[in-house]
Amino acid sequence: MLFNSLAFLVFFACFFVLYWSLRGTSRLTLCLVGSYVFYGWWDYRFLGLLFVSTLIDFLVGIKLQSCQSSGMRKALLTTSLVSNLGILATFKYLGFFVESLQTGLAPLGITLDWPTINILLPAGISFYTFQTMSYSIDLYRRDLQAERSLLKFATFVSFFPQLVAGPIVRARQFLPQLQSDRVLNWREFESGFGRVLLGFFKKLVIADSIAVVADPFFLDPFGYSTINASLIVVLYAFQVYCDFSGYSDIAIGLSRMLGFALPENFCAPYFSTSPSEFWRRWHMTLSTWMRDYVYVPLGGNRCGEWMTRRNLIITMLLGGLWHGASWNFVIWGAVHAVILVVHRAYVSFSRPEPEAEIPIMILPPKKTTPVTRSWFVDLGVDCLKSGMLFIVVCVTWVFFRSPTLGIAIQILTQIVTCDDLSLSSLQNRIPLMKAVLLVAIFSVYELLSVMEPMQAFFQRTPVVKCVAYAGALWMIALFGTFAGNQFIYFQF
Amino acid sequence: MSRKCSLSIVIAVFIALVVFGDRIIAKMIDRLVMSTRFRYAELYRGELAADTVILGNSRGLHMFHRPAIRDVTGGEVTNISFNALPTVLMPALWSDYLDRHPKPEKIIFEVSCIGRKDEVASISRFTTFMSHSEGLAHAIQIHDPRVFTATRVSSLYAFNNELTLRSLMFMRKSDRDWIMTETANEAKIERTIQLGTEELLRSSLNVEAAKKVIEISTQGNIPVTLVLAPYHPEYRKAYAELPQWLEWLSGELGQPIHDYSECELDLRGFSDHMHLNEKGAAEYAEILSRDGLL
Repeated sequence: MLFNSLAFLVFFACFFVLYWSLRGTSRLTLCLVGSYVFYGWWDYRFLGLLFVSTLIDFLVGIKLQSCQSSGMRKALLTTSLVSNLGILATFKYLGFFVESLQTGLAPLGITLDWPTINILLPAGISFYTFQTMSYSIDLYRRDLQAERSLLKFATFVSFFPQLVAGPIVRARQFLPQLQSDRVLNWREFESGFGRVLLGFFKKLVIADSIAVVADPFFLDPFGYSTINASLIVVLYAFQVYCDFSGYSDIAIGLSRMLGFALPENFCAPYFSTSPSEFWRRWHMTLSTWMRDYVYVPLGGNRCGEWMTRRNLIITMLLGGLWHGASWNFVIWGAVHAVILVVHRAYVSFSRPEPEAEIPIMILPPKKTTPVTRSWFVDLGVDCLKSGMLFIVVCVTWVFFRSPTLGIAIQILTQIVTCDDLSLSSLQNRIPLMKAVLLVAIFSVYELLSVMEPMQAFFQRTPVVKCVAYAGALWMIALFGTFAGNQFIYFQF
Repeated sequence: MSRKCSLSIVIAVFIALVVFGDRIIAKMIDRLVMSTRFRYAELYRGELAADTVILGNSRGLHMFHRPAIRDVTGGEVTNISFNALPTVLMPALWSDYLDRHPKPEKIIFEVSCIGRKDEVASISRFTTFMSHSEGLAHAIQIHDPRVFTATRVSSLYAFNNELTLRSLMFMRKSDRDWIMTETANEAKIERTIQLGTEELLRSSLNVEAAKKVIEISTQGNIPVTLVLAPYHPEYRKAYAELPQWLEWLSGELGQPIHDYSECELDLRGFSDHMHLNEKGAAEYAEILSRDGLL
C-alpha cells in the first residue's frame, strides 16, 4: 500500500480510530494485523518471508538471552546473520551476482549457461532485514534484553509506518515503547499531523513534480543540451531528497499520531559543509547502522590512517550495494568513499592536528566554529563549501539514478561538453519551470527550518502553525502530482 | 470550557480555514488566469474574433501559424488548437467560441488528433477553464470523473495543471503567434523513426466528437475544411497505415479530407517529425492559399 494512495488514507483513518479505541494486547494485535495488511496489500506472497525472518530472529533472540556458551552464542548469531543475509542475497542480489559472474568470466572464454534469474524484489526487504539483524547482534553483544513476546517482536519488525522504507529502527529504541499502552496526546498528534503534511508536501509537490522531467531524461538523455541536463541533474538531487525524507516524515508523523517516537533520518543534508557531515545528515539511521555494525567492528579509525581509509571504503561500498543490486550503486558508493578519503586526507594535510572525526557517525550538526573570522566571512566560506559539496553530490546522483553505467557516462559527457548553454534549448519547459519554482520555495523553507528562532516562533504561535498546515494542504492541491508514483526507496 | 470542547473548536476552525481558503485562493487564481493573454483566457473573454478559425492539437497549432496566414490572406485568423488537445473537448471549445464571438467565415480542422492513442489523457489540463464553460465541465465529468470530483472537493485542484502555469507566462504578451523555433536535424528524425511511428487509433469516441464539431459548424452555416497537415518526408515514409486510416476517417465523417501529409516542403521548415517552425508554416500557408483552402 502506498502512502500516497486513497486506499492508504482510508486504511489509516479506520486503523487510527480502532487503535485508540482498543487497549493492551488487542491494540498490539491490531498493530500487527494492520501492518501485515499494509504489507500484503502490495504482494501477499511476501508476508511469509517477513514472518519467517521475524520468527528466526525471535527464536534466536530467546536462545541468545539464555545461552552462556560463547561457541553456542556465535553459532546462534551466525544462524541469524546467515538467514537474514541469505534472504537478502536470494531475493535481491542473486540475479546480479550470476549476471556479473557470467560477464566477468566471458573474456576468459568460460561460458556459464545458467538461466536468467528474475526474482521479484520484496518491498522494504533491506530495511527489515537490517532491523532484525541489528536485534540479534545487539543481543549477542549483550546490549539488549531479548523480547519474549512474539506479538511485540513481530510488531517491532513489521510496524507499518516504517516497514517499507525506514527509518531503520533499533530494537532498543522501539521495543520499550511497546511495553505499555501509548496515550493519546494532543501535542504529539498535532505535531505528527504536521509532519505527515510536510512529508506529503515533499513527496507530492516537490519530488513527483521533478519526476515528470527527470524520469524521461534518465531513461533517454539523447538530445538534451548541457544546460538542460545539468538542470535536471540538480533537480534530481532535490527529488531523491524530498522523496526519501518525505517518506521518513510521513513515517515519523504517523508513528507520532499513534504515540510512538521514531528516530530522525535527515537533517538538511545539502547544507553540509563536508562529506562526512553530509553522511551525518543523510539517511542517518542507515549511516549509524553501518557505523555500529560494519565500520566500528572493522576497526573504525582506531588502527591508523590507512586502515581507517580501508574501513571507510568497505563501509561505503557495502552502503552502495545495500541500495541496489547494480554496479551503478557500487560505483555510487565507491565515489562517495573516494570523496570521504580525499577530504579526510585534505583535512589532515591542512590542519596538522585534525579534530577527531569519525566519518560516518551521527552527531548533532556543528553549531559553532572557532571564531577566527567575522561571521560574514564564515558564512561565505560555509556557503562555498556547501555549494562545492552539493555539486559533487549531484554528480554522484547521476550514477545512483541512471539505469545503466553507459547512460550515466553519457549524461556526464553531455554536461562536460558544454554544447549548448542557451535557455532556448530547454525541453519540456513548463514542467521544468514548475519544478525549479517549487525547489526554490522548498529551499527557502529548508533554510528557515534550520534557523532556531524561526522554529521557536513556529512552535509557540498556534495561528502560524494552523496557517502553515492549511498552506501545505493548499500547495498539495495546487501543485501536487497524484499519479500514484512509488517512493524511490521502495526498490531497496 | 472543557479541553475536548476547545480542541473541537480548533479542529473546526482549521477545517473552515482550509475549505474557505481553498475557495478564495482558487477565485483569485481564476481572476489572474482570466486576465492573461493566453488564447483560452481570451476565448472566454470573447476577444478572439476572426474570419478563419483553426482547430486541432499541436499539429493544428504549429501548422497553421497566424502571422503566416494573415500575410497570405489579409484576413484575421484565430487558432484555438493546443498541444495534445483531446478531440472530445473540441465541440465544447468550438461551441463556446461561437457563443462569445461573431460568426467566422470558415473553420479549418486538422484531423490527425482524431487518431491519437491517448484520447482523453490530457483532458485534466482544461479544468482551469471549467468554471467558464458548462460544455468543458460536462466533457470532463464524463471522460475523467475522478478529476472532476477532485475539483469539486478542492477548487484549487482545478488549477493544478500545465495550462494554468502557461497562462501565467502570457500576462503581457499574447500567445497567439507562438510556434516552435527549432529546426529538425537528421539524427533526431532518425531516432524518432527508430522508436516507431505513433499508432493511429480508429476511435469512435474521437470520431463522434469530430462529427459534433462538423454538426455545430453546419448548424451555424460555417464551412468546415478538413485537413491532414504535412509530416517530415522520412517519417511519412515510415507511416505505412496512414492512407488507409485517412480513407476510413473520411468515410466516417462523410466529408473529403485534404491530404497534405506528403506535401513537399523545405526540410528546414520542420521543427520535428510532425511539426513546422515559422519558416515551414509560412511556406505551408502559401501552398494552402494557392490551393484555395484559406
